[in-house]
Amino acid sequence: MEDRELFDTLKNRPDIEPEQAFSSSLRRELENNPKLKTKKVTVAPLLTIPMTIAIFVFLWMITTGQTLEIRSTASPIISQEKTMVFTGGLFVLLSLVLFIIFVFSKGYTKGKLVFITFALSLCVWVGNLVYANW
Amino acid sequence: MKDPYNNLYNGLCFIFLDLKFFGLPDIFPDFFGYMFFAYGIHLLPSIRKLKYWTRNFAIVLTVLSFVVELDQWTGTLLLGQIGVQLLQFLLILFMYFLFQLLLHIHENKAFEAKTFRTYQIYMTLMLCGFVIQSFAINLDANLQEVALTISILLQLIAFILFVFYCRSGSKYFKSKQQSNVQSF
Repeated sequence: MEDRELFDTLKNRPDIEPEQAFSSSLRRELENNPKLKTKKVTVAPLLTIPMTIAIFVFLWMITTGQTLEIRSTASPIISQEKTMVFTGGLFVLLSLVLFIIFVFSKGYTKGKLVFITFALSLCVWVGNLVYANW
Repeated sequence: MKDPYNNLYNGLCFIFLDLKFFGLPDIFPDFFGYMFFAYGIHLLPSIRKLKYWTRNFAIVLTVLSFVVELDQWTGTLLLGQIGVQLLQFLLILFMYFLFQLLLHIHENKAFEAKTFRTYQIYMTLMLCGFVIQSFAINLDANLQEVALTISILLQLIAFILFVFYCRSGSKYFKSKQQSNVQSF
């Protein structure tokens, strides 16, 4: 319905003679300015593509029963290390929970922040799975 | 016309409740829940292709959850707990899309505000529950129990919240239907 109305208004608008001097100067500016020509690369696809591949490879490795080779090299033996890992984990958990509460209490329904909450939750889950398999 | 909110309610009930009696498999299988979701979304009004995306997502989840349930029924446990947790994350993502749809289709201001509040609290509780649950994998047995209990409690509150939301949704739907009849 809205599209129809928009279409009608567009169709019925008065035809104003285009300002040729302005548009040609704009075109020249666009052609000369290399900054405007460069394609904008956002963070989202740059991060998501390798992350998705990594997750699928990891899930495949786990489900087919292959062990991760790093297993023997890095396992915290000393209790001090364990406490440090525990404190670090707790810190990450608390900060992530607070971040999620902040984003949703602010009332964002879309955008980067909401995307980051989902991405971080998934990262944390995958990270914990990797750590558990060490 | 059938009530879409009842279908959404049934869907979440099927997904949330895991009743396993006497060694029988889950009598409320998750893929039925996703089917209910797909049908409920089909009954909702459409906006900017969001409905079709969400419905297709529900259908994809139906297939995925069927594979995971089959894996558990047959006892091969190829996917194991990872499949269940991945589905849980996908459910949160799906609910996010469902709320995006629900936030746009209501003409009633009060109900729209209720949808928004439910969205805020539901997403917070579910994501926090998921994060705590994922940290529980690496904890000692005692702490793991505590973390899992907290996570389940959060998810239970979110579930109850959505149930209440669906109840008021069906009330809204009925009142809208009545006003449509009167206007004829």
